[in-house]
Amino acid sequence: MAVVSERGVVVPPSPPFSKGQINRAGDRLREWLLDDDAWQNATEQETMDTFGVLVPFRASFQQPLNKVVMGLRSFVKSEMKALPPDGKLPVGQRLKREPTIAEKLLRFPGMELARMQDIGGCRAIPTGGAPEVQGILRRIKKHWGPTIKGGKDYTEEPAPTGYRAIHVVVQRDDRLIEIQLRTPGQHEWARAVERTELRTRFALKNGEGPPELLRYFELAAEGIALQDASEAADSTFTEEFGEIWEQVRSYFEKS
Amino acid sequence: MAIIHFLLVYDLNKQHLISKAEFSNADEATAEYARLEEEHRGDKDLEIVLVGADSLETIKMTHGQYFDGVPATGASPYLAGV
Repeated sequence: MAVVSERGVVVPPSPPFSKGQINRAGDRLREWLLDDDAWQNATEQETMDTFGVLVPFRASFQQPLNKVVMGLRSFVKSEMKALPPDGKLPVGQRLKREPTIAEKLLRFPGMELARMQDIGGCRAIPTGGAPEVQGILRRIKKHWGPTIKGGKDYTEEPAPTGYRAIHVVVQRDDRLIEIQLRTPGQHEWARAVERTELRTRFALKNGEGPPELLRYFELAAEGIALQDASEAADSTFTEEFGEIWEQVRSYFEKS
Repeated sequence: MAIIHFLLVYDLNKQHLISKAEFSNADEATAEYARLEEEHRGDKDLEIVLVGADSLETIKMTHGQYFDGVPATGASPYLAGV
């Protein structure tokens, strides 16, 4: 249905969208995040071609995400030794926020919106830790092997922030869905980072913020990895951790 | 078990969750997510997010950063006081 406005006829894009349409919407988002004026001055047609594509494109991940989550729940249920009596499983999902889609495109200039791997994302945090994470991963590979399109073992190769987890990207109904598998310790760390981001408004996950705060989280992640592996920290580590904590503790004092 | 969808609005200035809507229908949740984002597009003080799990208790565990007063799970000494 065409909409007639004072600037003329505006034609809403209609699905199915081509990869080109989706990527052009992504390129405009990137541009508008850099420059508020560009967004304010955009034509109605440009606005429609951007959000009129982005919104339904993102919505098209919801059902594939739900399906992946149902499968993931069954893998978690099979692997977890201590299942809670109420039947609740430590599995959650989220559909990526519009501003974080735009920010990610800006951080990775070569990235195409049509190929973004974590618009639909889910995670499992089995209470039994690393052995159960490995068991769930084996089940994903066994049952979904041909649909695995990517992923990364951040336990073997941590992100510069210290982030650790295992990520697997699977394809479902022509959509890429990201699965994160975390031990309770890795998850507790990620939550602490996110809590601190909300509190301080530093984008710590993207490596933005005071160097001492970034270093603190990097060391904390290393300490937790040692705990997860039942290894003891050496005195050099403990000393550096103690020193950095003194430098950052004021960030965490309740206001 | 069916997934319950929660549309959360977190106010970065007030430092707490200001709205939480619950949906059993994924399409309705997704449509309301888009409507709310459009209404607040460009507002850098709000974080709007659509999450889902078997219960609110589980969401507080898997995506708990938006909830006040949820204690850390494993209580690692490396995160004490954070």
